[in-house]
Amino acid sequence: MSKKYLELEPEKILSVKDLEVKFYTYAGVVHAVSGVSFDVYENEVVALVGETGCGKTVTTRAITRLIYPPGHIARGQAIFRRRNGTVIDLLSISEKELRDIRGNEIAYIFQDPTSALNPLFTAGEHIVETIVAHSSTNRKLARNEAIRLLKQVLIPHPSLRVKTYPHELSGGMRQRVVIATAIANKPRLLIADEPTTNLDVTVQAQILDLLSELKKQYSMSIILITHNLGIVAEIADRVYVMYAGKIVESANVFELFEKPMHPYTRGLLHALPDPVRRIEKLEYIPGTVPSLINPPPGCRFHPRCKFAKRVCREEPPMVEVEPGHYVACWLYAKR
Amino acid sequence: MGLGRFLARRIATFIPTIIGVIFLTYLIAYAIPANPVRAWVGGEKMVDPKLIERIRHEYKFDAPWYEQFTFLFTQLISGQLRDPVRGKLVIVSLGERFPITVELALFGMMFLLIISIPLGIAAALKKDTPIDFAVRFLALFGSSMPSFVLYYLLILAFFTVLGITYLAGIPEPSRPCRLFVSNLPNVVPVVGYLGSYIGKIPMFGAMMCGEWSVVHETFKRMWLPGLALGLLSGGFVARILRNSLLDALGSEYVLFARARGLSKFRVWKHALKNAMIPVVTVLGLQFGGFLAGAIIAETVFGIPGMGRYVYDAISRLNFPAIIGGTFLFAIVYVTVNLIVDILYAVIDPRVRY
Repeated sequence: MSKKYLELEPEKILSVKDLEVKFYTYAGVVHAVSGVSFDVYENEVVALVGETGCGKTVTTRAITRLIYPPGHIARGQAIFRRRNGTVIDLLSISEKELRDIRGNEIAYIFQDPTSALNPLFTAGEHIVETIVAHSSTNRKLARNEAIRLLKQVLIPHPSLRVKTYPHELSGGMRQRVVIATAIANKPRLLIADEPTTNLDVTVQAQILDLLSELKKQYSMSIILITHNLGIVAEIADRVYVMYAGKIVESANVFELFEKPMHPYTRGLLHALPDPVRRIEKLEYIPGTVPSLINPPPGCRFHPRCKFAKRVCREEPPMVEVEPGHYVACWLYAKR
Repeated sequence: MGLGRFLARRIATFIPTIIGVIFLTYLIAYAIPANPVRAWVGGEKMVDPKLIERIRHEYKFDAPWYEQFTFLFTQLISGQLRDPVRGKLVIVSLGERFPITVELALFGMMFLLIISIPLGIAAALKKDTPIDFAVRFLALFGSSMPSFVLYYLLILAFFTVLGITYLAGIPEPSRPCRLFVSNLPNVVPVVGYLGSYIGKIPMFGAMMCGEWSVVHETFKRMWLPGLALGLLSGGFVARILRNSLLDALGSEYVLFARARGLSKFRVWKHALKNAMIPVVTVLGLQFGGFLAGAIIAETVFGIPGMGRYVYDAISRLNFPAIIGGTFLFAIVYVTVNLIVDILYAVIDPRVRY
């Protein structure tokens, strides 16, 4: 058995390379994710930003192969450093090894806590079974741990709440239970898929605070999916901007807000209301997200881009315009 | 818990339901333009007008309809209603025959479970494959095939041609067996009564006595009618399980269970528990249907249960027996429904009493 030797820089925890995910539907093949590459460093919060349907969720789910028919991971690598230091490609290891990693070293928080929790299982059972699946502790100890975790995610009366069913909890409490479940095995990488989208604004801030707190405490890396640039500015270290299944720009968060390069990123930032300046009319990006069954050739943003040229019908290369600031746009690339 | 109040409320709604069922049955029977008393005394041969007059008077056929209904109803409730053809109390006949119907229903249920659960799971796992189409066919077959045609075909195949079953009689234990239940203290009379009644079901009675050859004989006798009942509704139940299982497997909580690295077994537990909710409802109603509606099966397979009793009663215009049978059917149906509702609340914490 000749395994390909995998390398990962020591400061990185995950490196996704050239990921491609397709969905085979009746209407045709949906190219949901086309050649996405990104890195996650130890102890950082990476934000994946983009409109609904641009492939953020699919990208993160593909990392641990949570893609089921009609979806299919066509190509790519997801190189991950395990807790014990071994470097593996998550997209080519066995299902058993993968199950060992899911919920243990890589944990997920789903967008809608109401549908993520099984209505027939108690809050405590969700946590207990996650702990028991990845360790040799018995259920009684796991139950005590579940109570401790519920307390840690600031749920009042945790020893009572452990017995409640999801429908007896509020939306914010449910999301806290989901978070407690996700951190149950002290994961190295937490993937938070729009963790606050379905919550009240006041609860949103609490959940974000909780996530930053937990990140510090467990020294986790977090991939945060969001379309809310306010949240990005608040807690992310680095940002990847996605458009129609591709990454168009990446930079650290200050750089990106300071000097957005890609016309799409600029459009997104301009569409954000500025509380300081009074504006007559909010800007918007004309047109709509293209169909991913027949995506436009080359740069997928060019049909909506006011700078579009003939060359944009060809694939733009990802160029480093400043240290650590990458853009895939012909405005910055030499032919 | 609100269970006590829930039960009290539900049992209170039983009473008008059952009275309504009896009243409707009475109306239908009353509307038949025939002279039932003539039929009871044996048709044309015995034409002693005095005897006919006496029976007419005894069953209030000479009184207005409401008096007649009140008479039948009070007699039924007090257990004094007499079957004019056999001369036995209706309640006694029903008591003798009901255990046999329960036995048949249990065999039907066993085959229904054996057929529907694996097929439903297989159809969900192998969606849009030949197995799935086979289940779809079985469901269509079961609901559109006239039941008696299927019964006779099965008899033709397994009794006439292959000769691997027999169709006469019901194997009974040699002595009444209510051993350990009869020793139960009568603290809770209902439980004690139910306990001793279970011993009246021939197969269970035999088990209690340890007469295993009778149990074996029962299986040899009852498997074919049981299979017939199971075949008729197995495809339908399998389809319901398939659909609810597909819903559950595609849900976010199952994906979240996978994302947490749970074992295949645990993931299945998450999906199946949810998928069983609609199936439990249907299975309960099917069981009620087996208990109450096996009239055709009992007639074709020659099983002397409730269904046969009611069939005979109808063919002889035996009003008291028809009304007694309907009364029992109604009680069985509402009770099974109640049990389904309770089970529902046990499985699904969102359901409130």
